[in-house]
Amino acid sequence: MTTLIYTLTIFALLLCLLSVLAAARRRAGDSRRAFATAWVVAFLLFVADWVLAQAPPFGNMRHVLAFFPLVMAPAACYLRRYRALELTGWLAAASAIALTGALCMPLQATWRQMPALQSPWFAPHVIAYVVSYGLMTVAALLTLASWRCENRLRAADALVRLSFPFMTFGLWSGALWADAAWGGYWAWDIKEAWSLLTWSLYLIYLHIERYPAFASWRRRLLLLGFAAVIVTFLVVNLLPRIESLHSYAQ
Amino acid sequence: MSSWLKGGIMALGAACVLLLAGAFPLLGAPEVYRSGAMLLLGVITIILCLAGGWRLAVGSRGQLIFGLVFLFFTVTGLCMLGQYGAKALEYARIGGPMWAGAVGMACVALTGVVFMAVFGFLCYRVMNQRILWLAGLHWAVALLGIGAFVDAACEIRVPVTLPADARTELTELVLDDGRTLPLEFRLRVDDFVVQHYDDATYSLYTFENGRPGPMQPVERRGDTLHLGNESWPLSALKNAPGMPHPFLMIPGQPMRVLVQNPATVRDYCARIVAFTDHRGRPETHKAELRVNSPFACKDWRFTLSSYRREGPHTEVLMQARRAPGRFAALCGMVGIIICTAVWCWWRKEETQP
Repeated sequence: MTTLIYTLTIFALLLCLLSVLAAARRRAGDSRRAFATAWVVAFLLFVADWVLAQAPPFGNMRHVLAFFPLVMAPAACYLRRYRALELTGWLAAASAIALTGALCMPLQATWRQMPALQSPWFAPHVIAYVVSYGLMTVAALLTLASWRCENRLRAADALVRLSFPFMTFGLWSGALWADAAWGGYWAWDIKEAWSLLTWSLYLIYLHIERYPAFASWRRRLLLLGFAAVIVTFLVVNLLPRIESLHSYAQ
Repeated sequence: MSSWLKGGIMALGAACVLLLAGAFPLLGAPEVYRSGAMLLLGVITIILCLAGGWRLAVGSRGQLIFGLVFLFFTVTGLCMLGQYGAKALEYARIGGPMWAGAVGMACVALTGVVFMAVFGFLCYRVMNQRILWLAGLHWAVALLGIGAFVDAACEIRVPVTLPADARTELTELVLDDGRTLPLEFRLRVDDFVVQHYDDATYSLYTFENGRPGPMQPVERRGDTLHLGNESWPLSALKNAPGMPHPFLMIPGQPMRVLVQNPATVRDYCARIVAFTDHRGRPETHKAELRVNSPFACKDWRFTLSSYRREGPHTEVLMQARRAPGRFAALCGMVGIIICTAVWCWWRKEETQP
C-alpha cells in the first residue's frame, strides 16, 4: 500500500506538471486533459489514503496536501465555465506544489482519528480550507505575474471572491466545532489567531478592491494575505516549539 | 469613498496589527487579545458594522429585516435537519435497526427540505439585491461581536472532576477564586466507557536478577504473537488485579513477561444523569456525554475534556460553562458564513448598489 501511495502521488505530480507545460505552450485542450487525468489519479490516491487510515484522510499535512488536486480541477472547470477564465495551468501548478510537499512528508500509515476529530464538522472544515488555500495560492501566483499583464490581477480578484466564502466557512465552522468539542468557540489559540489574521487581511482587500485610490495596495495585500496563509497552514503546524490546540495536525 | 469605509479599513488594519502582535514571533504576546486595546477595537468595529449595515441597506431596510427573519427560519431548518439527521445516524450506529434510522432520517430530511425551500424562497425573493446581503453580513459581524462581549463579561467556565461511581453528585461548582456556585440541579456519572483501536503493540521484557532487562518488540500475526522462533497465542495474555494491561508470564530462566501495550483510544463516553425539577416535580435526564456532544442542562453546558484512571476508579474531567452571549455569537457566525457566500458568489452584473 505504501508503494502504491507514493506511485500515485508521483504519477499525479507528473500529470500536473504536464498540464502546466501544455498550458505554457498555449495548448489548453492538452492541459485540461492532463489535469483531468491528474484528478482521477489524485482520487485513487485519496481512496488509498482512506483505506489506509480507515477514516476520512485529513489527519496530517500529507493527507491534506495530497487532496489539493481533487479540488483544484473542479475549480478550473468552474472558472472556465462560469467566469470565462482559463486558469487550468495555474491551478495545476498549485496542485504540483502541494503534491511536491506531500512527497516530502512522512507517510504516517498508523494515523488514528482521535475523539475530538470524530465530528461531522471535520471533513467540511478541512475541505473548505483546502479549497480556499489552494485558490489563494493561485491568486498569489497570478498577482506575482500581474506586473507583466494587468488582466491577471482581475483573474486573481475573481479567485479571491470565489475562495473567500470557503475561508469564511473554514474559520467559523472551526469555531462552531470548537464550541461543541472544547466548550468554547474561541480560545485565542495561535492557529486561530493566524486564521483570523489571514481572514482579516483578505477582508481588507475586499473592502478596498473597488476604489482606485487603493489600486497600489491590491497587489501588496494579496501577497501579504498569502504570506499569512503560508504561516497559518505550514509554519504554525511545522514549528516544533509552538504549543497549539491544533497540534494533532502536525 | 465614505469616511465610514475608511474607518472600517483602519479598524481592520489595527486588528491585524494586534493579532500579529499576539501571535508573532512564535507565541508573541497573547495577553494582547484580552487587553483594553482589543476591547476598544471590538467596540469600534461593532459600531462601524452596525452603521455600515444601516447605510448599505438605505431605502431597503424593511426588505432587509424581513429577509433576515426568513434567513433565520431557513438556517433554523438547516440546523434542525443536521441535528436530527445526525441523531438518526447515531441511533443506527449504536445498534438500532438500520431501516428505522433511514426512515427517520428521510422524514426529517423531507420536513427540513420543505421548510428550507419555503423560507429560502421567501428569503431569496425579499433579499434579491446583493447589497442587502452585504448589509446582513455587517450586522452578523456586529451580532458576533456583541455575543463575544457578553461572554467576555459574564461567562463562567469551571473545570469539573467527577468520579464515575454512580454515587457522587455534583451540586455546586467551585470557581477560581474559591467561591462556590450552587447548581439548580444535580449531576452524576453512572458509567464511563473507553473504546480502543485494534492497534495494540506487544513487548517482551526479560528480568535479570529481579530487574527488568532489555525489551524486545513482538510481532502480531493474526491471533498469534511471534518473536524469532517462538510464538504465543494472543488468548494466553490475561488480566490480573493491579496490572494495568494484559500480560503473560513465560516460565523458564531468565524470567520473561509478555506485555500488551495500550492501544490508541478511539472514543470515550460518560453516561450521566441529571436530576432537575420542573415546577416542583422531579425529573431525570439521562445522556451520553462525548467529546463532540456536550450536555446542556438549565443554563449550563458540560463538555467532556478527558478522563483519569487509577486502578478500578475512573475520574471524568469535564468543563461546565455558562455563556449568555453564546447564542448571539453562534448566530453571528452562521450569518457571516451565509451572507459572505451569497455576497461573493452572486452574479457579477448585480454587483453595483
